[in-house]
Amino acid sequence: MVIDVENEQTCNLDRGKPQWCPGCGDYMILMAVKRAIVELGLKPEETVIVSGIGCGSKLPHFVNVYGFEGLHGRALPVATGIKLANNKLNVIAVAGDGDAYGIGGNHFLHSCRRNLNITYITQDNSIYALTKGQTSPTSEKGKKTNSTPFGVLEEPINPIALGILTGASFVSRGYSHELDHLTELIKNALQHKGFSLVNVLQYCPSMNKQNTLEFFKEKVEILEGNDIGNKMEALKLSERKDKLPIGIFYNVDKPSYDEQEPQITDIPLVKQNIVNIDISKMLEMFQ
Amino acid sequence: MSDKVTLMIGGPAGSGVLNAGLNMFAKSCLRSGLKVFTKAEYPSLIRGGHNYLTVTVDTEDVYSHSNEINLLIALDKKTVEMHLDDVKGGVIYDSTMDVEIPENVLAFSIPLKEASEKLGSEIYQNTIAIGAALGLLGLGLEELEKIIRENFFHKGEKVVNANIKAAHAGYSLSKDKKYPYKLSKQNFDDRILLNGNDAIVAGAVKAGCKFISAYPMTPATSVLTGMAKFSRDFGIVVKHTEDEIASINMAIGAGFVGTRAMTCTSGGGFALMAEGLGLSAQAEVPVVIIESQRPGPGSGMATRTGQGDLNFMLNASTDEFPRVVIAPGDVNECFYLTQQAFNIAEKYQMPVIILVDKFLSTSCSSVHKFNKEMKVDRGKIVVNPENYKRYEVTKDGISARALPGTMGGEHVTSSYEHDEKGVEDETRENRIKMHDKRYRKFKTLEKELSEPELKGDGDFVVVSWGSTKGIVREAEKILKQENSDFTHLHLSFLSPFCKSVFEKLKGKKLIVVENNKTSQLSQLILKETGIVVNHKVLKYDGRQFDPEDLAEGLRDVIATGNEEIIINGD
Repeated sequence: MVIDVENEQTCNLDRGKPQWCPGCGDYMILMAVKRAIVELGLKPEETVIVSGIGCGSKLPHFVNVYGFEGLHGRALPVATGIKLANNKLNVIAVAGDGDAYGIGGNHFLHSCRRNLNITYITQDNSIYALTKGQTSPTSEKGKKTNSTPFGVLEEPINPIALGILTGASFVSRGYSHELDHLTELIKNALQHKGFSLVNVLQYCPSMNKQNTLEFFKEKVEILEGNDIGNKMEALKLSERKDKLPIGIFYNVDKPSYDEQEPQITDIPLVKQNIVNIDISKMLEMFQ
Repeated sequence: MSDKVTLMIGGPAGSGVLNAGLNMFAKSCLRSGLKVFTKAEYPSLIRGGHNYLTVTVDTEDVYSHSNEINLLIALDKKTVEMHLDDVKGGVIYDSTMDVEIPENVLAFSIPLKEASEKLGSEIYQNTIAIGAALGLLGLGLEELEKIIRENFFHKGEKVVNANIKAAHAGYSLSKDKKYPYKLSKQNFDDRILLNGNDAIVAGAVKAGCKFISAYPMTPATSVLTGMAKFSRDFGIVVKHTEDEIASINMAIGAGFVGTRAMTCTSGGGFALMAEGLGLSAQAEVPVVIIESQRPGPGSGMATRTGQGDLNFMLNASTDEFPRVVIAPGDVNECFYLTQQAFNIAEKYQMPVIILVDKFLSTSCSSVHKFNKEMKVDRGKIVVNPENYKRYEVTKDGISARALPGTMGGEHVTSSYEHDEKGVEDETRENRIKMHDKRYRKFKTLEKELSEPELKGDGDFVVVSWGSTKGIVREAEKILKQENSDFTHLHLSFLSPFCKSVFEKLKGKKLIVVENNKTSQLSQLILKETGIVVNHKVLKYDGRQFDPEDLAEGLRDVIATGNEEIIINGD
């Protein structure tokens, strides 16, 4: 499926066109993100998309909202600073699998347990594509890549299980080429209060020769009737190897970080007065 | 006329000597209208090891500690063994302690343990000893009693009373004894006693900093905890992060949306922030970074002091870009320059580093209550953008920021090389345009800054930066008594570097004073001005210069023209 990006709403043509490989899952993820924003009626000026570095991290350029294209692995801490400083904003972070679970793995763990009200979309193609084909944290054991020509010796990370176990309150998996399903997932994630993970299985036509469209067609299965409040069931589903279930694995209601921070419950930090702050009482403590 | 008295209290780590020396003795002196300077030395341990605090008290302004101890409170034998040679006065110690005190030192063997146990616990020894010291020095217990009531209020009446009894017990053991050093009450002129990190916190709060993200690292930790302490009073969000990489990236995120944000760390943590520093420069997002130096490399010496990170601050991260490096010289500068740092960071949209060290971070100084009104300058911010360009090329190099939430200002803030709209652009023309623009901001900033002052008179010019400022001033007092004088140039801004002041120094002999081995300031002066600094007084043993030792080093250079003097060891 070829997406006509120029005709999509919220696309800012000033910023150029995506230059991903033909057929790349990134086009689909971009489309799903834009549709979700438009369908939920999020205001462009009140929405920020933060990314790291990688093929998919170019995404903020093609959506007409505020964007921040930072450093490799660091989308989440930037997104965290943005949300804490202005919790009225809708904050989305996007990152590839190497970015999210490799170099940025520590931030991922702590963002899950922090449960700040942001949405994390990971473009998971199980390969380092922008650097032309090295193993990633989600590559299958044994996979041959140009940094592991004799096969990967490590087990892949299971981002779904990791998210559930470290405290994220919304954990889901999508597939780049199930566009309607992915759009709904992202909408659900954006409406969720707390940290929401959308791990997107992504087809890479150029660098990942194992995970082909046929592979996904055979493996991907839409979740139905699962108990999203049941942690053990969610974990069990996340461990399935015969099929790759997509949908919401886990979704619970618990306090988000921002709503527990009394300094920002009334007005966001950014709206606070910073002129003529009276520190005389504070100084008396030093007498 | 100076009536300087220095007290030292020493004991094992965890015995509360630092707290007793500072909150009981130093604050009693402060409230009695005296000028105070405290310096703490302690190992990186929670229990055991040797802790000590010196409190230098004077009727006139005092800018640093002194190596001459006029009264030593020894809560363990090690304190006597380590510091007896520096005592010119007397020693207070427990009567069961097996020590030999030479004749030229007055010995005050006091039953500290016994008196403490009579009050129900061993923990009152500090208070008893402070009571005894105030008795010997003739200052009375009036202020100490008030302080005890305030400090132990939350622990209940029982603890308050026990400590007051302890202070009186010590006082009555010593008050009738003759002592050559005396302190007398002066008019209290509303001063406060705080250390460099406290002053940085106060400055940041005053400047409207509403966000700090940091990871604990000695000696910067108390900036994080200080901000946390006041967070509810001033509506500040404090985020203890998973690592320093997260710290700087979160602060940059907060800065991007328009909140004044900072982070704090020491050299090791700053190493992890290096990439983020470049992000701030390239994306043109304001961030303030507090770096409190300790000796390194690697883990180095966590609780000791040094000035070895100057080159690192000036050069950290990839490629070349303007950054501001401010090194406050004392507690006052920690407050006022922190405020200025926030204005510069926002106005020029670049990283601003405030470089202090363990000595300045942890040494307390009695200063006038900060009272100057502060002007908040947020720089160019657009409210109703039309055809908005985030990185618009301007004459002064500064482009207006559109903060998220502003309709029409949607753009990408990018760490890639970008064009005026923030779109990636690797063409040669664009690269040159943007690189020049970033440097043009720096030129604009240079024009805003005032030239540092030349103080005093003399053919020799002592050039210092950061925490040695007070030591140089005390050394100057010593040399003046010998009719020897020098000019003092203290640099609070290392980047941008003020070249013009050096043009006034042609024909004069420069002496650089700093806490490192390779004289990094001399390297900087050479790079910026072409002037080869011929004389250096250096120290790199992890401890601050004593003013007496520095005076001797300077005397030596002035008299003999020695090129390099290293003052290491006590």
